[in-house]
Order: sequence, then C-alpha cells, then structure tokens
Amino acid sequence: MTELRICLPGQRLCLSDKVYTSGQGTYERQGYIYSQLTGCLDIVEKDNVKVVEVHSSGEQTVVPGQGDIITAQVYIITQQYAKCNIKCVGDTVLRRPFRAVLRREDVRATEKDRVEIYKSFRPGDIILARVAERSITD
Amino acid sequence: MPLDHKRINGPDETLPYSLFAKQSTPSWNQIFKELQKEGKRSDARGFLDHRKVFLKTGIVSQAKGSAYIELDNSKVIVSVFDPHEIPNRQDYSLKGEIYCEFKFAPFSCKKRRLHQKDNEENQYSAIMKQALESTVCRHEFPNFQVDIYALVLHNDGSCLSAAITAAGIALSHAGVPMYDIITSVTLGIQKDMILLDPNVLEQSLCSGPILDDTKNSDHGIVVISILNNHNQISQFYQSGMISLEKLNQTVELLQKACSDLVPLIQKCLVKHVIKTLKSSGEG
Repeated sequence: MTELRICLPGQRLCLSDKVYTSGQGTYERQGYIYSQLTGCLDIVEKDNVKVVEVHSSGEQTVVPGQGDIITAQVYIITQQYAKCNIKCVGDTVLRRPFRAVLRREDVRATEKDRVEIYKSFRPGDIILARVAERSITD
Repeated sequence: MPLDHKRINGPDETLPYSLFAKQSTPSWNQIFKELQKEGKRSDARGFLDHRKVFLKTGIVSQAKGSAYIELDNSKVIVSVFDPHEIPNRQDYSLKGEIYCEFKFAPFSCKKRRLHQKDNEENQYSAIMKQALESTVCRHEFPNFQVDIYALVLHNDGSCLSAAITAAGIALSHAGVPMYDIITSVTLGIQKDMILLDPNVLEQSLCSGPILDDTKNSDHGIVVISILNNHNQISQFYQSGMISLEKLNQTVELLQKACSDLVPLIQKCLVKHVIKTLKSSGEG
C-alpha cells in the first residue's frame, strides 16, 4: 500500500500544468491545485495526464449532477411525466432521496411523440436513468 | 411577542436573585479602572490572549457533520446536514444555498432565552451565513441547500465567532466542498483597552461608552472571519464606535489571532481522518 497523504480544505497540493490537472475534490486557482475536502490524496494517471483527486474520509456528499447515472424509483405516473425518487447516484447510495421528474419526451430516443408513459412505467418500478441538462425540482 | 404556550416558559413572575443581593456590583467605570490597573483579566490572561480552545468533531450522530467548540465557558455545538432540495422553489439557481440557524439554548445565558428566535439570533444567523457563503464551494451543489445549525450551550462571550469556526469544521467533517479553513475571532474595545476574545462581562463592558473626563469614547465589538490559506476576509462585523486607526490596528490583531487558531483546526481534522481510516481498516 502506498503512503496515504491527508489533505485539508484549502491546502495547496501542486502546480496545475499539462501533467497535473484538478480532479474530484480539488479546485484550481491561480495556477495551483487546492484541496476542497478533508481526506486522502489520490493521483490517477490517465493517458499521460495525472488527475489529482481528494477523497473525503467517511461518507461522501453526493448530489445528482448533469449526466450522472442514477437509480430511481417511480412513484407517480401521469400522461405527461413520471415522478421518481432518486435512490443512488452512480455507485453511492443516498442517505435521503432526491425528487426527480422523467418527462414523456425523455423516455426513449426514437418515436418520442408516440410514447405513452403507462406502457413504460408503473409506480414502484426501479429505473436506471441519466440526469438531463439540469436537475428539475418542482 | 406572543408566548409559546405549548412549552414550559418558566414561572410568570420571576426576578433575578441578583436584585436582592447587596449593592456590591461595581459600575462599568469601576470595572474598567480595575482592569486597567491590574493589567490582566479576571481569568489571569493578558488583554491580547485568546482563551484555551477545545475542539471535537462528530458529536451529533444524526447529522452528517458536527463539531463542538469550547472557549473556556463558551460552548457551542454546530451540526451540518446533507444537501437537500429547496422546498417550494420554482426557479433554478446555479449556486447552492446555505441555511444557517444560530440559537441560544434556553439555559445558555444569565436570563432565560425563549424558544423562538429573537432579533439577536436572527442577526447572528445572517452574519454566519455571510461568513460561510464564501467558504463553501456553492457551485458544487446547484439548486440544493445545506443546513447548518449552531446551538449555544453556554454563553460566555464570543459565541458568534466560536460558532463560525466550528461551522467550518463541521462542514469539512460533513464532506461539503470548501475553499479553505475558516476561523473567526471576536475583539472588544473600550477606550484604549483592546480585549481579544472577550467573555460575557467584557463584551458588555465594550458595548457601551464609559463617560468620564477623557475625550476618547471608542468602544465596540469587532468580529472577523478569515480564510487563512488565501488570506481573505469573508466577513466583518462591527458594533459601536471605533476610530479608523484603532480599527486598522484591531484588524491586524484579529488576523494574527485567526491564524493562530488554524493549527488547532488542522490537528482536529487530521485526527478525524486518521480515526476513520483506522476504523475502515479494521472493518
């Protein structure tokens, strides 16, 4: 096991250049990479680029963001949309669910105008979905 | 203010026992003179010394992150909860919201505090929010809200700055992304005397002018919050009347006092990381 490096928020980690880029749990400012979280430093190497990441100790704070794959449970269906509760984001199980809306035109990629929600979902279904351009709360 | 009848509010008519004590309480003027003569404070520390600080994380098990801070007798618990959706919100905000609630426990002060929020608590909540908004990476959780609750268990002065410092630790403990470690210190001024980290008595000594033959009527309380690595001031609060040069001097003093707190916070957070690493290693 490699040596663990503990990081604290605001700690300067390294220069931000062609080799090192800022990843999860870090931010870039005036040419340097700083830590955002209290946790352990992790450098992931990917095609000659080293991504500097900080993983928080204990449970992570996750919110569903644009493009995330989420696991959700449908609880209400109407003609226009299905309402769901987001249970997981990626691999992490959420402590408390987030609400989400799956619109009729987002159910499938083809024949969008002929979608009928009730033929695709029933209340109680567990679905896998991707978060659209912005999270909608209603 | 309408009383909350569902809670026990204490007897209707009560008088503080101090009213019946012999008239031996010295006036503010006497207290001030005494302090000036002694050259040190009631707890034997110098005018520019901070009280001893005790910090601990993870004391509220229901919360995502929590911290406890003790400045001798001032005791504050801060708990932070997971981001959640903002209820009854139509529009989309790119930056997350922070909700702060600063509360004095009913038994925390000399006079019983009511369960409802009063003006002082509302003001402190707003100051806390202002201090923390620029510390948290709010773009990381757009359209969500993080709740921060500060509860004062014992008020012995400088509670607001203690709460802000503890909130920074609690946020970090909760894994909320932050730009920096935040520290906050209070300072009181009365004439030429500067009292760092005042207790409750010193705080009330500084909150009003003492009238005597000298012209100098500087008095007031200054609270400052600083992001230490970037050397930025995220919040500044002042009450009373302070001359400009005195204010410059106090800001310098406060900056130094804030940076003195940083190692303590770092130690506390590192301890927490090591503890979780050990427990996950065993489990």
